[in-house]
Amino acid sequence: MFVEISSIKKGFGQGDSRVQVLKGIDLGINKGEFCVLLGPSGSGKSTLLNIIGGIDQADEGFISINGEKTANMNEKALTTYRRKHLGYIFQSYNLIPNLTVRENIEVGAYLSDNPLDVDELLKVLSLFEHQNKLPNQLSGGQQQRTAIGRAIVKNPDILLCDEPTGALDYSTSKEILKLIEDVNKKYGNTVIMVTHNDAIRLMADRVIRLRDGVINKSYINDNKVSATDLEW
Amino acid sequence: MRNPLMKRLPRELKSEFGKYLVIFLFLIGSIGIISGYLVAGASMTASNDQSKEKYKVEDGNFELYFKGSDKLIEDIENKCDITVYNNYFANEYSSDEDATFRVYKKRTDIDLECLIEGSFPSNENEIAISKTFATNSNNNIAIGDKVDLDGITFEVSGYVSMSDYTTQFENATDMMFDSEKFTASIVTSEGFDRLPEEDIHYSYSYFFNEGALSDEEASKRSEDIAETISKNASMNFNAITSFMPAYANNAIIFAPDDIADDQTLIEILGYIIVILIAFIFGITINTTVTRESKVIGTLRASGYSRAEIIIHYMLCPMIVVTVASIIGNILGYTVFKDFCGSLYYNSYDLPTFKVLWNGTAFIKTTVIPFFICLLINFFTLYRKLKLSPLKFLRKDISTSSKKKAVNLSKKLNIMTRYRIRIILQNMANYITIFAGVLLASIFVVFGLVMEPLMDNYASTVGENMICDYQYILKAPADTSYDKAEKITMSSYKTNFGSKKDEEVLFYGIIDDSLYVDIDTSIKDNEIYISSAISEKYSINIGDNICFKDCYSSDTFEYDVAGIYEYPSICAVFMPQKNLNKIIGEDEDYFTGYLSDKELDDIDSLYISSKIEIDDMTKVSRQLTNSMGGLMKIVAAFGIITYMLVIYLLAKIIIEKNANSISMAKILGYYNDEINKLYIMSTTIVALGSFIIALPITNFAISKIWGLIISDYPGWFRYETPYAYLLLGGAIGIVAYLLIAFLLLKQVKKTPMLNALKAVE
Repeated sequence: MFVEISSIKKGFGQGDSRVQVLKGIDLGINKGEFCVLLGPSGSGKSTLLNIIGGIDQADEGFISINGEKTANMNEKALTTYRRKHLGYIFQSYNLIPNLTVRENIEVGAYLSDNPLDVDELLKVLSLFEHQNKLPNQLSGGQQQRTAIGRAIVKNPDILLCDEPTGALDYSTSKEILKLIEDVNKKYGNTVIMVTHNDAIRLMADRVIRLRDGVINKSYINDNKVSATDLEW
Repeated sequence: MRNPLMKRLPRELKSEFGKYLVIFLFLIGSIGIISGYLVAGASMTASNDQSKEKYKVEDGNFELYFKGSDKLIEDIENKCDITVYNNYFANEYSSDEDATFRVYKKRTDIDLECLIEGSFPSNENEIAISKTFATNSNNNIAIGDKVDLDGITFEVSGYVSMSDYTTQFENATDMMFDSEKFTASIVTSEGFDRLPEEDIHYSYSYFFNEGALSDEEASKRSEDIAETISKNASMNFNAITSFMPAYANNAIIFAPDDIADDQTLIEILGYIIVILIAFIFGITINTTVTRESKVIGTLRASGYSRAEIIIHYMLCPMIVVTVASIIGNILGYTVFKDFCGSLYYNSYDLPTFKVLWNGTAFIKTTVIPFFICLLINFFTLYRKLKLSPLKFLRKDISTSSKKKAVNLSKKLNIMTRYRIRIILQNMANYITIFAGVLLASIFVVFGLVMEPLMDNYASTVGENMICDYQYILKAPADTSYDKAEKITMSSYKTNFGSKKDEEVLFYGIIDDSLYVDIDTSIKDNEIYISSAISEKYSINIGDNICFKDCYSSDTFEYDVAGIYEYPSICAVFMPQKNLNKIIGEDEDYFTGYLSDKELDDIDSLYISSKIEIDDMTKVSRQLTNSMGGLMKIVAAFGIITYMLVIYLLAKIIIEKNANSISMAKILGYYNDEINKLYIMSTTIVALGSFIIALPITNFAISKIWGLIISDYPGWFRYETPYAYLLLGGAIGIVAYLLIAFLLLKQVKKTPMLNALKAVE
């Protein structure tokens, strides 16, 4: 398994008010797989994504990427781990507001020894003509495409997507999902996507359902459909 | 129902505790000192004004060559409509202190004294002296100590403030007082009789019979009085040797003028500080509004009015400013007024003062700062809150139309472009940082350069002395020393086009002088002026100057033929025969000597005064003594300002970009790399500010210096102290490094979860 998640437990708070968000998650994801984490609010899916992304630490268990465990890493090693392996896409885009579209993507490219060609990527993302605009001059879809560009420009092993369509309308959401699907196919990145949109499971290779901090259901989707065919 | 938003205030104060505390303490310190200065200054000025009547301060004085006969004095009183009192004194040298004691009989009718400590002299062996002279670190004369005045011993009975010598000016027109080497003093009538008769100066002080006059009226009257005394003295085979109206007597007016000037400077300084703080608050509020735009949008959408929101966001800064101003004022009235007063009492012999309630100081240090902050912050918020609630909800709160990105060359490395973007994004912060650095730099460098400027002045004066000794004689006397050169000296006044008259020393120089290298074949209407005149009044070769006789209405016009390097004294050099012609004497007439060694074969009876290096450098000595301590405080205040301004504004930049910093961490940027972006941008601006500020600081200080010195007679050249300018810059950089350390910690502390929290 390229990504190995073993006995992950995580709680928040102290004493009586402590809430156990993840109660022991075991999971494996293959390289290049498109994995969707589904579940209702509070099920622990974003927490799990943050732990995979090295943003948060598990109380117990470990994550291993290509045999490299994150559990005992110090801050610098975790940064290197994110730098080498991960690309992040958020619902709220989190673009650097004072950098142009191109510069936001270049910020991602700077981290890689072998980044994708920025001009080509801008064209792929249909952002070439907007490359000198600031984020506040863009629509939501354009901003999310920029965020995707920033995440994939360094050609990461894993693309972590936290509700990437949560703030977008139906057609833009489909556009973004298609883009992620294309990226996954073209560059072979492993995609782990957190969503509460049940329809998205149809485009995934692997579907994981979380409920109350445990995996409620996990299966391989043999009947993948393209993002363009999704409906909700 | 009470506004529930009020509950946020303590939480906001708590969450921004460090920032508010730093500003709070800085404001307390600044307002405390400003208030202390204003209160002490106003109280001292009031006390000084009252003392004119209480201590019967003269309206002027004159000195006659010989003791004035009763008839002469009566004639002067009648013709000038003044009441004249004997105010004889003797200048006695004390070799122990290497100082001159000017000894008066204790006065009873005019120029009375205020006892500061100890007692008035009660017998012929006692003397009371100036406290600033006695407590000068080079003198240290305690009450009960003995002083030897040319072989006559007196015991110090006390320290006094003499109303006509609140500042220890040996000559009323000197550029600077000298409380290290000169003191006015009083003895009993019997004590005065112990002094040698040949040392007595026949000085007379007077009151106008019509009572106190304005300076303008006194000035008009004084010209007539001087002329009348001069004419009557001549008619009575006497001569006037000096005339000094009180309004021009530095020994009387210097201290109150200095206090008044300081008050203006301190007020301006206070306003600059408050405006700086108000801008820092303005930037803070702006950042908070941007951060809380969705909250504001929701509140506005829920029905909260614009005014309620403005009041809410202004409350914390206004509470901090108001409470700090009030505490600062209380400290000003209690602690700092003594400190500020002591700075004056270290230099001046002022009568004791009682602290007076000063409503103006309260308005200037509390009410005006309150309104400055209120206005700046109100307009910052008002501009922002004109936007619709929807714009706030969408976080689209740029008050200008959507800005296009400045085009940056793609050839630049992304990190460089990133840094440039940070600088462009935070321009308001960085402009305020520059203003703060410039202000602080002026404080720091001014505090640092004072002493070296004084040292430089002393050495420049030493290097440019005409000769080691200048003698002014009461009557012609011969010397056997063949290198002693006869000169004629006289004084004339001119105002060089300004309002204030300046007394200029005229030197009549013999042909082929050993000491003054001028061309004596110049025309009769030509003169050389000292470089001091040239620099002070921007007069050059070919210009024309009109001089007035000090004791008559005669005027003389001259063209400038050359500039003679004599940097501290306003002097004119001309062929001796020309000067003798002006004063109506023969070609071989002379009034003194220039010499490279002391002339000990001239009877002291003939010597009116002797000028040597110590007399020329008293300015630097006195300024170093009286202002050295204050300058250290000014420099320290500058350093605090450096740190405060840079820290607060750089912190705001980091807070404003917390989300981007957090995102950069998530992307995989190391802390070092993030520091290179966010701290380096501030570092570039801070260092750039230091570099740009230095020449501006130098220019500003040279102008401030010129303004200060132009009020005094003579000149004090400002020479750029490059080493100290660089030291000022270096201190700023070290201060910045300390701040940068705190900023590094803040970047490190910024959690990655910030970016995740942005999901709303």
